[in-house]
Amino acid sequence: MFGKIFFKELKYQFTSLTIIILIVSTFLFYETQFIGDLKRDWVKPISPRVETEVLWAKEGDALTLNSEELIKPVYDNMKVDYEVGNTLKIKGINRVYEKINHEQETVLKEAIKEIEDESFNIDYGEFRIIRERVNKALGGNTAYSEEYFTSCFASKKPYEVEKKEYEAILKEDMVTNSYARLFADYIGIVLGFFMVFVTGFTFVRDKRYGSNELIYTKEISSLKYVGGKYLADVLTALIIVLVVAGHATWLFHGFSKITGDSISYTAFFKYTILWILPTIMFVASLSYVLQVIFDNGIVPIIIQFIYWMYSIDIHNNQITKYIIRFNEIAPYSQFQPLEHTIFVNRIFYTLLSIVLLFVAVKLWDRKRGMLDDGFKIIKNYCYNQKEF
Amino acid sequence: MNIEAINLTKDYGSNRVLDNINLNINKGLHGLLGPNGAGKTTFMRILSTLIPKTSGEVYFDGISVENKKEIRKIIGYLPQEFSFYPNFTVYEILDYFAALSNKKLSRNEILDKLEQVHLEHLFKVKVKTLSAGMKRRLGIAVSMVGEPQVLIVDEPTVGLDPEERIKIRNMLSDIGKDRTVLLSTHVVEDIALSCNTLLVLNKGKVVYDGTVKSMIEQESPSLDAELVSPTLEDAYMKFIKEV
Repeated sequence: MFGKIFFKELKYQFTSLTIIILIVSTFLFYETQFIGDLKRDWVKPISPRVETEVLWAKEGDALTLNSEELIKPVYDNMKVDYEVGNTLKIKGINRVYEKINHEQETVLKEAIKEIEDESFNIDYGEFRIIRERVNKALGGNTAYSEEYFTSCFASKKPYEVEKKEYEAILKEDMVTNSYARLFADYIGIVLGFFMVFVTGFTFVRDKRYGSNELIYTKEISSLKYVGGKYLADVLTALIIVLVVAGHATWLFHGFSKITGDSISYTAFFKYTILWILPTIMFVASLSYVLQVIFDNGIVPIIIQFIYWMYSIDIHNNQITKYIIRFNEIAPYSQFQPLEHTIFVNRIFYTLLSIVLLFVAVKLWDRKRGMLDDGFKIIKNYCYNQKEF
Repeated sequence: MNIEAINLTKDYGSNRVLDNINLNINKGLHGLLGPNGAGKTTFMRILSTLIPKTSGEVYFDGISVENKKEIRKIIGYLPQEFSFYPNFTVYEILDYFAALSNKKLSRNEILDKLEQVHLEHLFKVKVKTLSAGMKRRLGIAVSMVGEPQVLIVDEPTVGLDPEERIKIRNMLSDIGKDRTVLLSTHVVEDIALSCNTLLVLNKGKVVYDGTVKSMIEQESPSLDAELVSPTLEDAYMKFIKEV
């Protein structure tokens, strides 16, 4: 019986429109933020072929880059590529050197000559055209492309520093554990809010479709009914996150094959369960309680949004915040001081979710026997005046 | 199954909706008649565990209506207004409500139950495409899926065409052969054609409790209209006016 409720709710969720909101927001955030970070900062630093000075300047809290200063390193790199006969290609989150053919060498030679003819006094627009032409001739996705040239030629830290950091991550985290914390940070933000669109209407829907009185009078226990729906709603979100975690693992599997560095294949799944699942459970439980009390799905969304705004503050992971924030790639030794606080936070929200679930069960049980009670008493009174 | 109400009262604030209802209902199809606002829906909702009574007692074969867990095993309830998840098929709906009734039914059993309400050929059809009459018939199947001993039906024929009304009445008559069925309506014809006994509620009070036949007999033909036999409707109108 419990299983039937669970599977029917699961089926409903995966054929509903609200699930699209969750899927689209999760994948969009994953692609733009998490993958975006990987492609901006790269996983494994590679030794630069030319002198790439740290071209970033600090203006207040922000780092700024003068793009025009990139002309020289790009030119130098073109020369080395031409001389060595290969060029850097970007494949997903990886960077590999690939051989170039004679025609491509000719294009490179022409580009180098054009820059030399102008004695490096070309304007940025002209430089951009040359760079794009070279990128196209080399087959796209090269270090000269608009998308990648900044991250390839203007590193924020010197190569030696980056290399040292990566070695620490490799040693302490098998690479992926460190990235899984960043993954959990971003996905936690998305699920922490958008999950409510999936769970905020679970019981309101029964009423909207006019099934609530039929359901209330059935034999099923309130625990089985609410619990079955809860498990299905939580699993719906968890499946989506696990699919994304699977994709991240697959990306790093490719990275491992190319670099030869070993990775942890369980990292993304582990952080999904330990960091993201309590967030999913909490949002589901809170929205259940709120919708049963207020008899609509809008109130849970508004309250969740306010709480979400408060919880996404990055500065600490105090107990009052239900989303874990750790927006950096750092080896385990740097994360360790926060580990206990995060552990306590996750245990607290897991237990709180279970308590809230039982509160929702109790409230729903009361509601099914008191249609004319609670926050809707005035409405029901008026209704009964007309209908009794 | 016997339903007994003793001094049943329901108040909404200072407004008394049910006033000291005393009645006894046994096996068979019983009509509950009354004008809009008479208290029919409130009475049925109390019997169905949906709302609490203010005072008095209601027993189903000696089990108090306050023992909701036990009562929900006994009753089937079909409210006046209901629908289902639109994208579920007819089969899925019955399968789902069987689970809600703690019943595990095989595919054949579900199809048999659909056959009883003449919907077996539509088992793959999505609920949103059903007509109002078909939905009402599916509603009867849903309220009967737990094989309740008591069926409580609120205005099942409202808005249906004559053919569907006949189908619904016949189904309820069949169910009433071996169960207690309480049929609430303000359509006198439904009661006249399908029930042996009826209760008339008006302004929260029971104004008639007896057989359809004796209610008609109480309405003696007027001297001015010698050729016209009194109908249930005439008798009902008289009771309503008198209170």
